[in-house]
Amino acid sequence: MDDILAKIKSGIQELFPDIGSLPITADTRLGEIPDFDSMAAVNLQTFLEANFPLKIPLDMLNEETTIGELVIHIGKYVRKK
Amino acid sequence: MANMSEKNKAVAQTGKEADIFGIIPALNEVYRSWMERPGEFERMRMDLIVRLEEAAMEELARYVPAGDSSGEKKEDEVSFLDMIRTGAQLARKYHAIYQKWIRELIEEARGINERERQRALFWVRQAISACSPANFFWTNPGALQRFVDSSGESLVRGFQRLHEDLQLGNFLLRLADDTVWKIGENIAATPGYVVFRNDLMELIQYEPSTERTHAVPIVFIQPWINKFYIFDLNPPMSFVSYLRDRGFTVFIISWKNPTTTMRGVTFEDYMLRGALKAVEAARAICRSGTVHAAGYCIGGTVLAALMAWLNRDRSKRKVTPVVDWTLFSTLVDFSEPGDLGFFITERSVEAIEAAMKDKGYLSEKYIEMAFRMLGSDSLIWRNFVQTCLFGMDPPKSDILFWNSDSTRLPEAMCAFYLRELYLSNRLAEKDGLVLGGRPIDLGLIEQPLYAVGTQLDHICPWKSTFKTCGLVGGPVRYVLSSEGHITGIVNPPSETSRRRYWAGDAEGERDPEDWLRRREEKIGSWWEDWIIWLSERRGDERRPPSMGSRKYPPLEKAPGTYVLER
Repeated sequence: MDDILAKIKSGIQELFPDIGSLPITADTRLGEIPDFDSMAAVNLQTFLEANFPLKIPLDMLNEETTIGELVIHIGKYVRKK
Repeated sequence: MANMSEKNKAVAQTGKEADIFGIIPALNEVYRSWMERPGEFERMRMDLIVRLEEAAMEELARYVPAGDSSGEKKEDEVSFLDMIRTGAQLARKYHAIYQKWIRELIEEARGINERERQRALFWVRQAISACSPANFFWTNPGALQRFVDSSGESLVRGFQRLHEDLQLGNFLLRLADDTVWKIGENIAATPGYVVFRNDLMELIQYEPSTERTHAVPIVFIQPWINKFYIFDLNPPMSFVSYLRDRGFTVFIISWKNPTTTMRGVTFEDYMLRGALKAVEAARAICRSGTVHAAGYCIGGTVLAALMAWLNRDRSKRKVTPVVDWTLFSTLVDFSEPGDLGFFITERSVEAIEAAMKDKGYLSEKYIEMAFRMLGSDSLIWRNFVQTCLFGMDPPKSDILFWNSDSTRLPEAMCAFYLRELYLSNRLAEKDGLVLGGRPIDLGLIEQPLYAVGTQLDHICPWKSTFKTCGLVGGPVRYVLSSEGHITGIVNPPSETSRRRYWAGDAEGERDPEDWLRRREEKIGSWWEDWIIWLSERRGDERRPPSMGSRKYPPLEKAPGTYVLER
């Protein structure tokens, strides 16, 4: 799980550098990313699908979604494999 | 000095002439407002200096030169990267502070017109986004790290992509990998047939996926800005496929991408030879007296005009061919047109008209540029950083691929749309327009309306789409969905969905905030709510209609030819 979190964290820092020094933890909501909108969600979806072997539904990437929820969702799939 | 002053005046004059979007007068209003309050402005200025100093102290205190901890990299290389990271972090902080300060300056300016304030904010935001440190190599540590890791190849790849795109005339970089998606194979791939074609559109009828279908078909009047297949992305994102699986016969309009010969095509043509013709063909093929008509964005605008046109003639027709109608993110009243309106001023329309004279259409490049500027963080700058500075492949996203499949607009229709709707707002005015020989009065429309707006829509702000509720004569169910212009509409139900919506009766309502206060938030997609609403008038269940008919024979397999025209 920790490596999934680390990968997502570094991806978010690269995709959204304006997040600056805001700590990214399991509790961080996507809405806390500066200027996060539905097209930013598409960018995040593309990053996640390129880095993890599963489809990420776009409707899951809401501003209320936390990084922890993403880690759990991806973790379930990665564990199954 | 005198010469310089003359030169400056000349530059200022040229700037004013070039300012077709009215940016300078909007910024001047902000400036004048603060000049009337010099004391407060000075306080704001001092506050900025203090904030910048605090950021610098905080960041520099954090900087501790790194030692050779890993043993894998040379000490000077590590510390050089650390130095860049610290510099970038400070640049980001400065950028964030300036951004907040300038926004506050505009938001707190007193006595200025609200629309001018929004105009100033919009254009300043464009400039601020362009200046983000992330967009520059030396202040983007990710870019530098990739450069070091790939021995410089990342930047070489990035510049190759930039060069390729510029060669193709794309001043904005490609948004998506266009080698992955094949229209008709892995996108726009729901089976069906083109059952009618004229010089303006192809009408597609989709094959049924159920043994029985509802008598009343759905006819989608798609926007002719970009292609129709935004409703036929890959399942589960295909709206067409979702409806087919629920027993509906679905027709959709695929518009022709205008060429020079179409310069004289009007808004009225889109209404009568497009939307109305599609309704007639669908009725005939399904042997149904009526259809459910649904329009999206500009497709919805033309549908609203058509509904008024049909209702003007009710004495002559026993049955109006549309039993109910739906608008997805559609402006009918253009008095508050959102961010897109900042591109449409008297002077910019004159410039657009002049630009269309030569070829008879508005180039897709202008349209793409305007739409990408509406979401410039995601659609311009993040794309630039990833492609150019990181040297990454463009993303394999179907929505972004669709987003970059732009279309042109015919000269006559475009000029009418900008002048009569955006600048003069005539569709919302009783008998403000005469189309197809009939005055257009939305108040005459009696058929039930289902209207969807989306919370984050920059193109058709939901509160503006809500104005339709107070303009039409019949019952209205309004739905506000979370998300934006595309993602709020292409919004399939799913177990993981975090989407929200608010729905309810809105007949005659004029105050969107008040309406929303009385609604309950629901989790998930509004698609299921729409199915329930449609079902009240879907007719009996019967064997699916044939594909086409004698009068409308199947011409070729979906998605047809027009969608492929660039």
